[in-house]
Amino acid sequence: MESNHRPAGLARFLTPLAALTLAVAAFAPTSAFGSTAANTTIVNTATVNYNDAGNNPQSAVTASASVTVTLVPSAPLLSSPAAVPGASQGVPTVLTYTITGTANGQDTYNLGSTVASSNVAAVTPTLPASITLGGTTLASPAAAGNSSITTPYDGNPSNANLNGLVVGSVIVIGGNPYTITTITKSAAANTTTIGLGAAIAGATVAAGLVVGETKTFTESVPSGAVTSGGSGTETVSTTATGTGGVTTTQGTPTVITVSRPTLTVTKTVSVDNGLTFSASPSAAPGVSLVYKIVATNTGTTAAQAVAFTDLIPQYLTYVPGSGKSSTSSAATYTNVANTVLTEGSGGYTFASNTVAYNPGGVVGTVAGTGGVLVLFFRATIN
Amino acid sequence: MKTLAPQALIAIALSLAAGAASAKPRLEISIGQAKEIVESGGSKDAKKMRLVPVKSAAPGDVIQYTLTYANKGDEVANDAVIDDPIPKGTTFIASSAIGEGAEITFSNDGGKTFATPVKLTYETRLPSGAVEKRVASPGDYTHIRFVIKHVPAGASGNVAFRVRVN
Repeated sequence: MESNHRPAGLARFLTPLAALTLAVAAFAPTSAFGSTAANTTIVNTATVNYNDAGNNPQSAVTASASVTVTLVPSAPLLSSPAAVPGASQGVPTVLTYTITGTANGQDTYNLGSTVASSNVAAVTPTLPASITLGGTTLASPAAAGNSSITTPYDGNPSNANLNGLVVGSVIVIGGNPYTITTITKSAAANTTTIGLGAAIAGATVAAGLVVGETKTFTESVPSGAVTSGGSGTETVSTTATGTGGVTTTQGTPTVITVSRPTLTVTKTVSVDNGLTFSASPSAAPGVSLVYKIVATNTGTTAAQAVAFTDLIPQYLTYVPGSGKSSTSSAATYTNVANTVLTEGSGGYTFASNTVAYNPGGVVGTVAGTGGVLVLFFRATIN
Repeated sequence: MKTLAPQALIAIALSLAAGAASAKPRLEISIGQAKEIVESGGSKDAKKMRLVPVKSAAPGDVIQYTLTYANKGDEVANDAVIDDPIPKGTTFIASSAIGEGAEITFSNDGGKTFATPVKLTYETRLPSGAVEKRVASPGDYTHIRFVIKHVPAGASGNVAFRVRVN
């Protein structure tokens, strides 16, 4: 050692460190600008070189101490699925969430969700109970263009898993997602190299920043029965809670508007063989009447299994083979686009003096916002 | 010198040789690591701090490394140089290096050269009344070196510094 560092006197020795401890109590932790991954081992090795009285160098001695870095739980990022304006009553809505870890290690997040219903019967959503996300940190900057990153070693020699990250996991670096293709650990260097499916895009990401796993999960929200009017809303708010109660609730609740179909029915009759129709014309006995029944869906969602039944009244005789259907409210009976109905097929029947038409399937589905299904048949005045 | 009998000279030389052969310094060192925690309780002193030995720490935690050296030999150890790289994954906390009787120098080039940031040295008075030398330094030092010029046989001492876990 250089002689100009000679102290003023002979070595004096510290009294026990208790006094020292009190004196240095002013180091209040500040928010860390960077972070070290959980399970990283921090090793401190001190080496002493010294001479004997004759200034002959002696063998050096060393000592080491190590600290393992712990998980610092951190609230994850949770997406807010877009509003669903056109849910149909009775059809569940499936929301897809993206959740991204921001902790320095693996953590499991419990998922919960509340649905506030307005004008819709209460429902219970279905979603995973929890989701586990891996995480680490950058041991050195992630340079743009590189297809790998360096993170700390986690003390586990297996390359199969690094703090919950495995090959195929999607991790977020500098806001961009990358798929892990390889994990290669080096205990000697105290680092892990993670291969990525794509080169780092954008700017270089600083060392110390958290590399969190991102996953998606789905939540199924039943569409409860609308209690009045044509529609109601279900407001979904989902929460993820990690170790120590770190919690994230989706920033914007997802509003699902549940609609039900609303059918209106008109019935008119024609005395001119189905060219013009009115509600109450007059006609002589023996005249063949054409009835037109129009079902219109004024709701915003489709009505399914629309079915007509019409009891032929007194003094009228149904004309077999006269049934027709249409999807146009303006259609006349003679319209060539009409579908000719045959009793006993396509859901069309005449029995017990009743005309019934229940086509089911696509034909029996009447679209929302003005969809129509029209039934014609003839009857003769006795 | 000329009046001294040859036999006496030989005797002195023999005794010196015997002393040189048997007396040796033997330094030992150990490292303690402790974390500062705030003690909660009924105490009026809300800022009461305590150091507890740790095996694990979270990012942001402050760890104090205390290096205890002892000369277990029977001769003085001279120019004891304790080199300690700032552990990977941590940042040296400015002015946290302490060691009475020790020259404290730092390296920011991976241990190639060491220097004392003289301008940043200051003294502080401990509650015990002792005056202690502290050296302020930036957080980017790579190594810290403590030099103790003389460690008498049987003597021991401590040096310490603090880091923050990144």
